[in-house]
Amino acid sequence: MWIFRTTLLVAALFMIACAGGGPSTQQSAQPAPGTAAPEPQVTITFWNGQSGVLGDRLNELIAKFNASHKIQVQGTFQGNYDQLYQKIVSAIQAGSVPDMAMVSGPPQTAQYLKAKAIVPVQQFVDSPDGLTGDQLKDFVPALLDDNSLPVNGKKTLVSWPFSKSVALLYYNPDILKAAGVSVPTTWDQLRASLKTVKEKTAATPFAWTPDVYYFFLPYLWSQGAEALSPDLLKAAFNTPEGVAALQYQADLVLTDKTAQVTQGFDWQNPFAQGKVAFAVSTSVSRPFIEQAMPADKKFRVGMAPLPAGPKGAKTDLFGNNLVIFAKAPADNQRAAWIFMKWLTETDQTVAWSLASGYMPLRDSARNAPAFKAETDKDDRLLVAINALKDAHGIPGSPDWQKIQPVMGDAVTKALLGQASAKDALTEAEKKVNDILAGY
Amino acid sequence: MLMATAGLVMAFPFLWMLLTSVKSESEATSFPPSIVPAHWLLSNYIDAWRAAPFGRYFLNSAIMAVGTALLGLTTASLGAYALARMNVPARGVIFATLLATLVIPPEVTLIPNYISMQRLGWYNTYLALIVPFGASVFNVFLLRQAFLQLPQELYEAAILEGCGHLRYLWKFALPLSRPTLAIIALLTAIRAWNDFQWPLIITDTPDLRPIQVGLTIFRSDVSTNFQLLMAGSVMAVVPVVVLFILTQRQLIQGIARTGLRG
Amino acid sequence: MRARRRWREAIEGYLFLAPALLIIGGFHIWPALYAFYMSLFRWEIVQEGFVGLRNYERLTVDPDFLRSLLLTAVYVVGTVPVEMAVGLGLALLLHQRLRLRGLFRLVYFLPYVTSQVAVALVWGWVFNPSYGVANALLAGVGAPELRWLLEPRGLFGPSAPPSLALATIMLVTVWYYVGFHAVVFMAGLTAIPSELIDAARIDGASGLSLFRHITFPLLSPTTYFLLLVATIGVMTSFNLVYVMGGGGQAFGCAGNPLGTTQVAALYVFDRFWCQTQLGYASAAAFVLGLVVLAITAVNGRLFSRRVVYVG
Repeated sequence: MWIFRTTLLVAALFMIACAGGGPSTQQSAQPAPGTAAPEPQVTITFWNGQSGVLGDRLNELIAKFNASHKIQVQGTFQGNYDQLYQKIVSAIQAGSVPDMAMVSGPPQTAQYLKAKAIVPVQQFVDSPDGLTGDQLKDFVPALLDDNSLPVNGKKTLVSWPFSKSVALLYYNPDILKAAGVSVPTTWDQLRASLKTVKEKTAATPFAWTPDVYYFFLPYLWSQGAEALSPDLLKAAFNTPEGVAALQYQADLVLTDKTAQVTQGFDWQNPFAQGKVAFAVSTSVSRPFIEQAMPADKKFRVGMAPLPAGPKGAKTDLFGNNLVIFAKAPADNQRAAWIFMKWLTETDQTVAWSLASGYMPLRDSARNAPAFKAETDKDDRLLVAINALKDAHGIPGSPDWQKIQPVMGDAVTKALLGQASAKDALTEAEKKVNDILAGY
Repeated sequence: MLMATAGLVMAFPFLWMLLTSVKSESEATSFPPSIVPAHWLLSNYIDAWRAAPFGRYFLNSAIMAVGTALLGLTTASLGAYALARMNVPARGVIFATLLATLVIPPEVTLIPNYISMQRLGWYNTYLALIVPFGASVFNVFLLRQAFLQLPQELYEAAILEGCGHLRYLWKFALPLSRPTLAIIALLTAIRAWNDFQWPLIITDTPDLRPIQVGLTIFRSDVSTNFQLLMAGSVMAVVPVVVLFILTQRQLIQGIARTGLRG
Repeated sequence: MRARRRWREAIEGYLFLAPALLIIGGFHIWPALYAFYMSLFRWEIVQEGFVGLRNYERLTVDPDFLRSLLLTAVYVVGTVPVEMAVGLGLALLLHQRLRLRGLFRLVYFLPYVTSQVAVALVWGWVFNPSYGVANALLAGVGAPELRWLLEPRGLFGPSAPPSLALATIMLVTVWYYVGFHAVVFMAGLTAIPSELIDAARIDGASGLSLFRHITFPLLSPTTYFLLLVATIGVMTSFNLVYVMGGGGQAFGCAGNPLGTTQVAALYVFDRFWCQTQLGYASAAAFVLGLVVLAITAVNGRLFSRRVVYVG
């Protein structure tokens, strides 16, 4: 609690110091410069995609907020991310959007922004209700990047981080020990380790569900390359780096025969049963793996950052962000922001992280007592957090949902040996450029 | 023998569903799969039931199914009767238009219907769950066919007695078409019970959501809880099976009596 | 006098029709018109610009759409005749006095009354390459395991449709609908007057010839009805293909692997809900609707001459 109060105090001091500096906002009741207007007494609607245990925990957080604020938040579960998205698309057609919602990542945010359905969060961050430069610095920079898109040519915070996770390498320490392999830190080491596991044990060296996120993008990024051009208007993956990224996976499957291709989260169960040495998935998978372990064959799930390339280690940033809708009344928008801000304060981000397995969003969370108590007990929590600085958001192109299946097909073709990595990428490049050119 | 083998193949997924629903998570996902569970975890059903307000979901599904079926019977009876017995101008045009609606892919109607629900103020109400599917072209055709098969003399006698259309419909036409009505009621109710996309889009709160939407909580973006999903699915299937067993005879008769005979 | 009575009846008739027409008009026809309106625009999440018939023009050269039409044809040809033949066979067997007839009838019809999403999930589990029963059976007899729903390679050639994935879905589709066909055929068999069969028997017909010359022709209205309903049903419904083709999986929309299971109904869904090209997808839906309508009409033409009516 003391952290919370101190932050508030610091925030207040900074607001006075920076009075008048921020750009003007479009709130109906423009507060006197430097002081936040009293909290609006409104009820806001919040569509989310969190069900089951996570849904319960989120609702507890909302209840806690409601108990201490005039603003009342009404959270409703609207299905998984796909279904939530479909609902928001329908609501946009009918002009009946909620005040705020979860989005699954930058591409959806970009679509909403292009449709002018959301207001950039930046205007609230800069407002008297907002955050100081120091407070903003407390957030992991990769997260702020993930939530920023160009608006009028200027990099702007359009959404706000909430539940974030990264791709990690999972391993079974018992199998690694049996094979005499240490945890690989580069792509080449990983490939060699898989071969050793294949030679020395009966286990499946590697099982994963290949798609553009698992390996293609991180491998590409780790060589300093990108999937799309900086303006997001051209394909940029048909390069030697891209070919290498695709060839790597094809080699595992076709040449080394060290990798088993699965579907969805199917790798989880064989892995949990101790039959697989390595796997790759998001950092929130661990509880699900542990849950699927047979009672008599439990082992400690190993977690490591994805292997590094010449430009270091890179990983995908997954999870969800929050947006505020343009159709909402000004008071509700402001209330939504106040709630978001509260939700990502150190206390709450720690509580949510410990409850959900997502990562805390702020550096200060690492030192929060509740969090430290957990990381002292289990240092694996830190693996994901340390990987966060290397996290790379999914390209924020509004057309990403059309591009991703095309690139996914290229991966599938190369892994089946139906096309060489180069041919598969050349074909995909043409399709992606057609999509981006529009009509 | 042949029948028994075929029956087993047909029933296999259901048996598998039942068996999986009482396995532990690690057993449900082991390979090679076990046929008979090592431990019968009936507690899966309790866990599934407790995972969400399933009592409420069942009630909502029942309200939706019964409501849609009743409304469907009413609209089909009146409409079919008008098309079969009454002198309605432009009947051909109406007929053709109705027929054309059969080929519209349902997914494109979702958004316009969503907008309508918002405008009507029906969003997140039982009205939205029931009314849009409360009339079906197929049902109107089936029932019209049944009415046409009733003897013309009966109709004429009734009219001579001074019977109005509504009275004739209620007193004679409907009771004599009971098997067809049973089919319409049953198929409409089952459709409504199994519907997923529309209720998901058009409801906001758990107190209005039906069972099929409720089952989504076992499939998250990170994993599927298969044994609980199966337990939940079994619970969702049981009412349909019971309904089918109870109405089996009527159903077969109904199919025989409807237009299928030409 | 008579004219007045006519008028009164016409008004009454429309009143009778009103509830059904209001609902069908408001929730089926109006949305269809609205979708047509959408199809004339570049309309992604929101309405952008009027493009006239450009969306339709684009469809004619969209390889994904053309492939989806071809796959629909393969899907229909590979399922409808099979499920009808099997359904008829079962109906003939069940038509004889048989023990446990009611139980069999229940078991066959059960799939048809179950949610397609639920059965698609169970079958997806059965054909799961990592721990499905299908591969356990193959392994049991020493055959190499298959990748079933993940296999884009064709049954009749590396890239000739159907892929093993689509063929697997076709198998499940047949399973789903076969009971419906059996029950309707049974109803049709019950409706054949027994005197006709007896008369044919006296004339010396039996077994196969009885079936060929008497039973089958007399069943033709049922056969025609089923053919029509099944064709429309298979062409427009997409739940089975959607769930088993990887829809609803994390990060994937539908039609996997490599689009080899993306039949036209799924293509429409994919473009509409996954890629949110609302205008373009509406255009595709209209083309699909017209194709279904055309096939229905041709069907009607072909069969109306050959159907034998009784009674």
